[in-house]
Amino acid sequence: MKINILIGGKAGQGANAAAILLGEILTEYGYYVFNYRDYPSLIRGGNNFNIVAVSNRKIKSHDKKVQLIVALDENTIKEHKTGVNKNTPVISIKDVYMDDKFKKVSNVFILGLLLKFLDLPLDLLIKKLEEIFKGKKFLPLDKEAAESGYNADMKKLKLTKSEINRLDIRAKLRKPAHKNLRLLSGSDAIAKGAIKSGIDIYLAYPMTPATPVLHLLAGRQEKDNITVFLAENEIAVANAALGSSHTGARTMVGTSGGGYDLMTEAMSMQGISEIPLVVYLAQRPGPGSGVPTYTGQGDLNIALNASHGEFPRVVIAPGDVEESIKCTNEAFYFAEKYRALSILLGDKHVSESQFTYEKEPKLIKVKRNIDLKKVNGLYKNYDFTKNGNSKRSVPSVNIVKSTSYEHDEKGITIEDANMAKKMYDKRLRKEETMKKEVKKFQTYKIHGRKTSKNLIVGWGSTKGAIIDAIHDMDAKFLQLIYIKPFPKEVRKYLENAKKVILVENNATGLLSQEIRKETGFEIKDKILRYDGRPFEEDILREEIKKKLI
Amino acid sequence: MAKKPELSTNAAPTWCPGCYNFFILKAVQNVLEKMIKQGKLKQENIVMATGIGCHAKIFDYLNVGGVYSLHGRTIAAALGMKLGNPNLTVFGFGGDGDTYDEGVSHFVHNCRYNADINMIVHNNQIFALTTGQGTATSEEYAVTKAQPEGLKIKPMNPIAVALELGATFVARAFAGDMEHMTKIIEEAVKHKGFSLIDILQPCLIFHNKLESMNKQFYKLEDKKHDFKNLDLALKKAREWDYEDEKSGIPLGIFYKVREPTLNEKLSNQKKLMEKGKGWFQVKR
Repeated sequence: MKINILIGGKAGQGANAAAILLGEILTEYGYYVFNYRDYPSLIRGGNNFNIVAVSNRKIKSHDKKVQLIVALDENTIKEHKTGVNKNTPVISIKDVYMDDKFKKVSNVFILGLLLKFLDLPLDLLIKKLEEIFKGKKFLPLDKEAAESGYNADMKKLKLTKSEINRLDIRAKLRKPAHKNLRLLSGSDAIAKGAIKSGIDIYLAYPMTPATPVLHLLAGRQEKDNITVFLAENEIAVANAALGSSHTGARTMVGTSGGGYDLMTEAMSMQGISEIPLVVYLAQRPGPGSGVPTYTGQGDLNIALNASHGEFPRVVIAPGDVEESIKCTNEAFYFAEKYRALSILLGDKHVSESQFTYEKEPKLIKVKRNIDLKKVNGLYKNYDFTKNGNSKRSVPSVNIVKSTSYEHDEKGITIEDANMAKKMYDKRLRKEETMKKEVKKFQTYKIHGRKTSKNLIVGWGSTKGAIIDAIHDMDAKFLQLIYIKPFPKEVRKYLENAKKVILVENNATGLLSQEIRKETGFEIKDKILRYDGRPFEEDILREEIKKKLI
Repeated sequence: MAKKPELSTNAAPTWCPGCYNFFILKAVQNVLEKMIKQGKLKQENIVMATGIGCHAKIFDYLNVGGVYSLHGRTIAAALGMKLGNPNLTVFGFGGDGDTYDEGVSHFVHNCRYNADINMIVHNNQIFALTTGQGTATSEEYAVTKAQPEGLKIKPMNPIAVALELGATFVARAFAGDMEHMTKIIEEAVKHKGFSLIDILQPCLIFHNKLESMNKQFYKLEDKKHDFKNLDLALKKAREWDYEDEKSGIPLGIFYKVREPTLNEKLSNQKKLMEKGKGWFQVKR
């Protein structure tokens, strides 16, 4: 059983804040929650909404069909009480008396009302408000609004008795037994993963949907002793990151597709200079400025290939919060150990959705891989080692030259054919070494019924909807986490399945193209969505069922 | 006194014979040698960022560490190094095409940021390594292979731009006057904050106005210029528009003021400075 509550209003009315509060209350109460956020690119007005899905089962997605619409304005009803939700009951702020003084906190008022409606104690909300807004000037008003909403006259709501009964979460869902659950967004998880991996510097230029990580880390500078700097553009960000990492600072940058495009020359320089770098690439629909506040998986190819020349890189795609923490950690590990470019490929749907977070994944200690031994003269920054991975040192210890030109072992420019090939070969050897090391990690996962002959294939943010959609079906799900180096051994799953279906949030099935390239296996059945919206559990289930007939 | 540092690498220079870049390299080496001997600098604590172009070959010849960056990205890479370890002495070497064309956004904003970076622009008023096209500081009337009718665009005045944007040390030097150029570089290194030294450097192959320029040069210090006065500095900056062959060309320090640097203003950076550490020395 899964109940979906849609909360909507104009931008600025606080639908998202109400959904977060509701989500946190339900999570702490012991339910599994998934909070989907949908908002257009504007600051005031429009229609922002969230769908808070709640269940006793481990859900990671929402449904298209919702069981309740909570409307902070008339437009929310007009926008959402249509299609599959034509008969969905509505709690509208317009249908209850609310004192004018609560106008600016109508989201808290309606949340109070909602709690009463769901037969949950008001105390949960009051405590939550006190916890989040401790010491804030508006806390007393918020608490008053919550109470007033809780005690509002429900009779005026245009709801039938049976509609009300249908919604009693506590009656529908078994008593929650889960403890220590928390709600975490993908962005929270990326920031957490970066801090746990010992990040020193985060550089960025604002771009949705990578911006929340910038805000989160900026807010943690004092507590975690890190520097966050917003530079003049993404080109500055990427090149300054190489400069900072050259000095030994553990550095990460964050952006979306457009900003990444601007950074690609510097990514190529990373390849030749072998300065460690972690890039968080949060996708949104393109081309161009696309649909900026929505989601998509159309940037796989730039993550895998963009930048001139040939050089090793790691591309890791987390599908939920636990994986976001773990993949960020591994991204830092590879960057630091192999002086590599690690790309953490996320998207709006993971970064701005909230997931129930149970326990911290096991993380690797990221060691500072820096040679502190002083040498005479220029440090051999590009030592010709057998495995292709050279030690590095830093300024203030040694004289170290990192360069964008082809170079000798000490980083001096060369144009000689033999040396040019030798240095290229060194980097290619490093790629082979990295491929071996990657095998130690969980590069893919199989979810669902392990014995099933029906195989769904996907990556990144579609994970939640796919797992939820097939939870009671005869199907299993192959989730690719490392797209580069590609785990070629997944070929056996593809070949042993009777039916293989690709699910992707893009128009041409980019992962299937990569799978074909890496394994030779061609996936013919595809469920693709590229309208900027993520897959919902119920819609995806129907799509998969159709393919399985 | 420390022993004489080795400030040249073994790399064989590929600048044209007689190129003024040799003079700039020498001037920088002179300053570093003096300050290292005085114990004011440590060779391993000095880093440089370069762009791409003739100027950038200095990366291979000067025996200090750093990042041989991409075209235009000198200052971004330099800023990164300064944020990565605020205790380093950071040089940026850029060309005019590099700094004022391709990388102008970094130039503009770093004048505002005021990180302690010594930015040396080898301004030969031409894209030289790409065989002679007009840059942001080429004359409107300059005829090149890419601009056969002349540029038709007025040059930019980087000195005036830097002053307006709040750079805290703004100077112009001439690559042919070793003593004066060396003195200005030394002053820039001693200055805490973003320093711009625009070094006029004839290109013997593609842009050589040595004859007229030699008649135009004069030194600001000879005219008792008050470098603490921004209005006067701007007035002096506007005296030469980077193309007039008749007006005087002032050389020297236009403006110098001590203001808090970016690293001093960012609390965690300040902590690193107080402890004399880079991030790589922070235990996590």
